[in-house]
Amino acid sequence: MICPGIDVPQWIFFSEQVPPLLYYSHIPSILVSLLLGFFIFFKTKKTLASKLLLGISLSFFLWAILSLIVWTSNRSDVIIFSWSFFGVLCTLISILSFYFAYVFLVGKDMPLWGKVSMGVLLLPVILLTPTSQNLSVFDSFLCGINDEGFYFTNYYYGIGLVAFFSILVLAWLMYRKRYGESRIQLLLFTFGIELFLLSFFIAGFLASYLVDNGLLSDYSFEQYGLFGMTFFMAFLAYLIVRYKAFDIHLLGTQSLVVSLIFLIGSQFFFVKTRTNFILTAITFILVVMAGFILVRSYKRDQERKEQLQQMSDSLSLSNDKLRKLDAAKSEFISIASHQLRTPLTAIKGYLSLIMEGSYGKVDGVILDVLNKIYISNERLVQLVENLLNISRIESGRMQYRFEPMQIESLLEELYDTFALIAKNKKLRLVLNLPEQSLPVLSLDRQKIQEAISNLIDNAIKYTNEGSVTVSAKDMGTVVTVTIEDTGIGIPSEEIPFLFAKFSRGKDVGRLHANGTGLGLYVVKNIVEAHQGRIWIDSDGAGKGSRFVIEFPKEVSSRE
Amino acid sequence: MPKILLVEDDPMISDIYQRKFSSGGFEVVTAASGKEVLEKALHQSFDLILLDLLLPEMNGMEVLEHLRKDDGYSPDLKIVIFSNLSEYEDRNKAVELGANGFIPKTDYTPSQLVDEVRRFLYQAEERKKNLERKNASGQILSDAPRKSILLIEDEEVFAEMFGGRLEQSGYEVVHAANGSAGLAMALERHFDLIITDMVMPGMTGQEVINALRIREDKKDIPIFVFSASLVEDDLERMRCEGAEKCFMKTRITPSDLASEVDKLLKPEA
Repeated sequence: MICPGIDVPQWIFFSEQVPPLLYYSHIPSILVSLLLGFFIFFKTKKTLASKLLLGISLSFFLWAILSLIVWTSNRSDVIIFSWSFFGVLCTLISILSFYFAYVFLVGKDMPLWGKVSMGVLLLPVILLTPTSQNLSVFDSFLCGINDEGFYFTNYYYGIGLVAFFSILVLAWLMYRKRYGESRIQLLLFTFGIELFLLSFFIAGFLASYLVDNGLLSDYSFEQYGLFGMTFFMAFLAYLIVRYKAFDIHLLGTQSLVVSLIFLIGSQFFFVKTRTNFILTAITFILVVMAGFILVRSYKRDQERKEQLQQMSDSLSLSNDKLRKLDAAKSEFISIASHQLRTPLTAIKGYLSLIMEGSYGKVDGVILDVLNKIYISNERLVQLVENLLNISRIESGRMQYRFEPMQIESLLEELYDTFALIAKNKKLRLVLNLPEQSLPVLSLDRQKIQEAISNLIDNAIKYTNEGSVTVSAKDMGTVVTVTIEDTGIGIPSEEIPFLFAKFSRGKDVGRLHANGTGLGLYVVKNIVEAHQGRIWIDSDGAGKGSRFVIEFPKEVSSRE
Repeated sequence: MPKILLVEDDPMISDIYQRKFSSGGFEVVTAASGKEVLEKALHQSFDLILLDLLLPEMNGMEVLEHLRKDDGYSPDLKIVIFSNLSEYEDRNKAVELGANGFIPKTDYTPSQLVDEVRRFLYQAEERKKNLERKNASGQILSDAPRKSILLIEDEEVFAEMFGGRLEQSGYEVVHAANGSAGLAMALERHFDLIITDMVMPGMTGQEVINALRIREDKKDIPIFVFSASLVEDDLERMRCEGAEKCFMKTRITPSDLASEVDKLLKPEA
């Protein structure tokens, strides 16, 4: 039977007589829910949650289509037929929503009894659909239903309410078991799905209630409820992008661009004039193209970022390995040195006892030979000491004992030590100290002596003729000690490398006249541990060099 | 104070040697030529002569020969060749002529030279003592009861080496192979001195010291600490927690240890 006053709709449900809000509310929601439903379904390779979501989307889709038909059709039989399914679909949506929420929040499938009870709840609706409990009176004038079955409608509204509250309870139970980000995800999801259910049912229920009581003119109010679906999908989309829900890795840009396209596409429903239509179409096409380019370039950026991240990760991994190797090496040197001390001590001890005649008289050549062995062994002991020192410095375990002292006495002692050696090499060793006493400095005597001794030794070593001058000066805020030589000099490009670790392999463990064999690397460490600075000046090869150390003065003696 | 004669013509260097040897507890006289050496050695009594072979006027070997063969020079005089000898024959010849030792000039700083000389003289002393001991082995031992030393050391080698030498000096030495055995022994009987290693399996030396220090009857026993693994690298500045003295095994000979023990337990000697 044809409803009076209503035109035949085109394309099943497009009609001029209906406010565009109908299409605007229904169609985008359908499209969004189907799009996301299928997207998640295929992306997650058909997990239970995605199947349920797809179920919700499809049920919603069916419901919305039927709703459109009901609103626009002019044939009463079509209207009645379509309308009758609302009950089933609404219940289905409620139950599926609850099931979906359960799987999403709890993380596993519902126990059998849960599924059975859900089926049980659904049953009455299915059974009663073709009965008069569903639709009792059809008004052929308005082509509308006046009286839906009281118990029937309240039943499925009730289910909807039950679903709503059950999800809340579930969410609250799960909230306490989760922490941090997980909680936020839970809240977002719950809010989204509850909003959907709420808007969907309350809108419908409220609209009926208000119209029945004459407070509202038509049912179109209930159409706003459909936006709940869009919001729900938006929440899900956000969860996917931000928290990789459903384990989907989706670029924010992509989803934003898609949403933008959607929004512009939906404009078509509001287009009244041809001009508007063309303009909207052009905008739509431009947005699609721009979006495509944007997404592509963003993807490329992401890839590059990921590459960089990988490289930096592998770099830091290599760094870690290097550090571990370095530590292992220091550890090894330390252990080896300790182990070596035992046999060295035994040799030293017994040799000395033999030479002292504890085991019988020794003299002459034998005594001399034993002495040679003894001296060699002492060298070994020194070498082990050097290695231990170096490993201690490298592992940062070098301990310093600072005491106030005059650096002059230290320099004088060093002068005594090296004067002879310099003379043997036919070099002049000069000590230049100022007339006035230098201020008191806070130094670790032994370490500084070793450091400066190392420098003087180097100077003598690398000078073939001329002199080596050791001088100290008060320079206001600092005291400088300079070791200058007329030796072979240093080319400027090599200067930065001299203080580096292992720059000259021969420096490591090299036996030094004063016993520690510390390389320049260790000298620098020692100076810096005194809050001092050290640097080298050289005019180049063959032009000598100058090592300068700066010591900060004691705070009290500063002007 | 032991007296040294050495050859050095550079007054500046000679000055350095003077200072170093004086602060090392020696008296030093320098000579500028071979003749001066022979002259001074004749009229003064030296413990040791540091003889350079490269001398003006007279060859060092000749000086050596004179010092050994001529009258007026004590056979006890130690002559150490202080020169850069490279020829093996020279060395052998020097030994034949009666040199007691060799110190290369370039390898030692003045301070090290002083240490070497000191070691040399010390060894000679010990040799003499040992010889006397051997000759006197038939004599009756003194009536004084032997002082007892507890040696706590996990390395067998060191227990024998150091313990043996201490016994040679006339002490009774009891050896414990680890910290807990040592502590038990220390509590069981009286010792005049306890020498303990620091790093041992099980109870460490420090724990033994601590355990003894809290006991009334044991807290006054002197303790020497022996170590092969020091955290601080300078021996003099090491804080020996609760111990009289601390030694590093690699820097002390058994006889050195014996001297230190003597200083403590036989101050009258």
